[in-house]
Amino acid sequence: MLEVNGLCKHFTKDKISFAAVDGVSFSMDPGECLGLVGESGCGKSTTAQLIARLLREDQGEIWFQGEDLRKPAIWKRLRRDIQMIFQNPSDSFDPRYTLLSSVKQGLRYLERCSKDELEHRAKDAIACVGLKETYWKRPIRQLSGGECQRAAIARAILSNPKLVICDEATSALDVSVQAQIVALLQRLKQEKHLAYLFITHDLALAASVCDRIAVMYRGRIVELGPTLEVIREPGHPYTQMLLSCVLPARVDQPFELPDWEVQRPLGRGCAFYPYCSKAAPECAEKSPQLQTSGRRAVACFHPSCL
Amino acid sequence: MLEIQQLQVSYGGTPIVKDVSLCLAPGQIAGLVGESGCGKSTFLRAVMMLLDDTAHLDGGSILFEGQDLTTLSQKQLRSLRGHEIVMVFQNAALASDPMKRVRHQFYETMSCHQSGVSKKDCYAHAESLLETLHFPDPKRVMKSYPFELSGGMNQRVALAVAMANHPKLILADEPTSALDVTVQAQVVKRMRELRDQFGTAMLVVTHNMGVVAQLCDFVGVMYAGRIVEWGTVSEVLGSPRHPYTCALIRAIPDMSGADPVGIPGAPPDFLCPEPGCDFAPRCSRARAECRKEVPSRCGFSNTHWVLCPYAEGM
Ligand SMILES: Nc1ncnc2c1ncn2[C@@H]1O[C@H](COP(=O)(O)OP(=O)(O)OP(=O)(O)O)[C@@H](O)[C@H]1O
Ligand SMILES: Nc1ncnc2c1ncn2[C@@H]1O[C@H](COP(=O)(O)OP(=O)(O)OP(=O)(O)O)[C@@H](O)[C@H]1O
Ligand code: SF4
Ligand SMILES: [Mg+2]
Ligand SMILES: [Mg+2]
Repeated sequence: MLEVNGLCKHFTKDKISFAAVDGVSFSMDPGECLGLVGESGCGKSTTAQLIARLLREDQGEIWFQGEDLRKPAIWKRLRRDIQMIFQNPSDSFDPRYTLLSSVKQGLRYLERCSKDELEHRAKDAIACVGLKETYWKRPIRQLSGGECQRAAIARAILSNPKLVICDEATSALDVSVQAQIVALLQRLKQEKHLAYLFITHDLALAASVCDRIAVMYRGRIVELGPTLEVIREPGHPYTQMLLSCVLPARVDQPFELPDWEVQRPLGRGCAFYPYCSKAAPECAEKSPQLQTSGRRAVACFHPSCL
Repeated sequence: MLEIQQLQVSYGGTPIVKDVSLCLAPGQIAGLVGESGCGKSTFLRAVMMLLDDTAHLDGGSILFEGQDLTTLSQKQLRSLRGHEIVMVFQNAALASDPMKRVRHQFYETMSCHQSGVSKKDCYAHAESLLETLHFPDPKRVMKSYPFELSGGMNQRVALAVAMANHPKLILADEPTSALDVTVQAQVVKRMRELRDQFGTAMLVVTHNMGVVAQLCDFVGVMYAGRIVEWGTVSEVLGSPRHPYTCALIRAIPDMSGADPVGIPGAPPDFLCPEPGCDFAPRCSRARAECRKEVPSRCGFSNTHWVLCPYAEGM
């Protein structure tokens, strides 16, 4: 349904250009949930914004249902099928508007439907995310962080999209409300065959909602595969490091906080080289490409699986 | 050092924070967890005396090193903020001025409280701070505007600015929610080092129980504006007593891929409060008495207490 090919995006700061997204390729099926995890600043939100056409790529292709999304006419026609929930939900709302009218805005420009129907659907969506009637007339500014995030979710599901890009859509929610939202997303996925690109930092959450997971490091996908397989048997050293850093929510087992100094990237070779315990001389010279084997893919010269 | 007594805050006449009391000694880190919208951010802003115009402080006192913050003038408060007490807001990107480069933010905070600090010293200090928070290229970050940084980078910058003056108390509202686990572990480690080095006390709101377990000494569980359980981290996470705490801990997803379990029922409506314990409608252990009046504290140790008379023997 969605196919992303060799996507690149550079930003220039003080005449120095650096690649925020550096050759990202993946594909998604209808009704699939693909998780996107990775280091802070590795380019997840930039990838999301490229797909949602909020940024222009420098290179690469984005195909949605067999059509080239980069063409403005096609994007105009298909935009209601792709919705995005932003990392900072309050950024995407005008803080003075009420919750109800903000959520309704999700549809206003996209679809012609009667005022009553619009009202009805918006109220339904708000109820789905667990916000009560007493919130309808509240300005966005007066909502708590998690309430605002839920308003953004309500707005995104309103237009019956086919793909929802969730950029840390549950990071401001406590675990019990998160469970409720996850149940809602799962239900929509089954009933309406909705697909999600699910950006998150919570690996346990990814384990329960994502069918497949893509691990990003410094602008590239370094590992891709079925979520539970990747978590059980991570192939890339970065994925291994990621899994070893999950802070246990219990006190009966001692846990040593990992200890390493931040390293500057080499600028060539494998980006993970400075931290990698398996690094060999060749890793500092050549940059590993994503190698596929069955349903799994790893970009490493010394993968632990495949 | 920080002693909060029966703090009450309301929005337009609706009580939100109800009777919250807590104490923090220098070098202690307390976590605050609870359902979305239960009043955690409001409480933190109240401690900082930074409430919205629609909010009203209905009662209680906030003693910081012996002086009651609720009685201080705006001028006196300003000289404390940013220096002795600092706050890291929930939405880091919104809270910082979008027109200011990161280095400007550092300089502003530091020069305000250490007169005569040179730009060079300030930038050097800031860069070394950023490096400990896992920025491989602090120079680029220092020159960037907030919109040029990712969500997690802005969050770390806000924390670094807060740490810059070595304050006595840090109030942090979800300081690690946008960080991946490797960087989160580094940040937690850095916060502990700061505490060990300078005896900084911290009050940290978070949804991440792993952060609570690995960072905090104490933890308070908030429900509908009240702290319903308080204790050391090993007491609360190891043997939770309040029915809400138990349900919250059960809802933490594990790595198995199983669907997370929520808490049935909806959180109470602040606008139409019901008498008795706020958790009663969702509580499997509720009895008729629970719906009559707010339960009083029940202690299990010097440090561990809950607001529930039926919490024993879980
Ligand atoms: N408008 C911009 N101008 C310059 N650099 C930018 C811009 N937007 C993003 N960047 C840079 O691109 C890189 C990737 O940012 P991105 O927001 O995609 O990260 P992310 O993976 O979403 O991280 P996080 O998990 O912290 O949100 C970062 O180094 C960031 O500083
Ligand atoms: N300025 C305001 N005016 C009126 N009500 C408000 C205002 N700010 C927050 N509220 C309400 O007060 C309650 C508590 O909000 P608060 O921001 O303290 O929650 P929180 O515990 O921080 O939640 P979250 O985890 O979602 O950030 C919420 O129900 C919210 O809707
Ligand atoms: S006081 Fe009653 S209702 Fe409230 S938590 Fe305890 S048992 Fe449940
Ligand atoms: Mg991001
Ligand atoms: Mg909050």
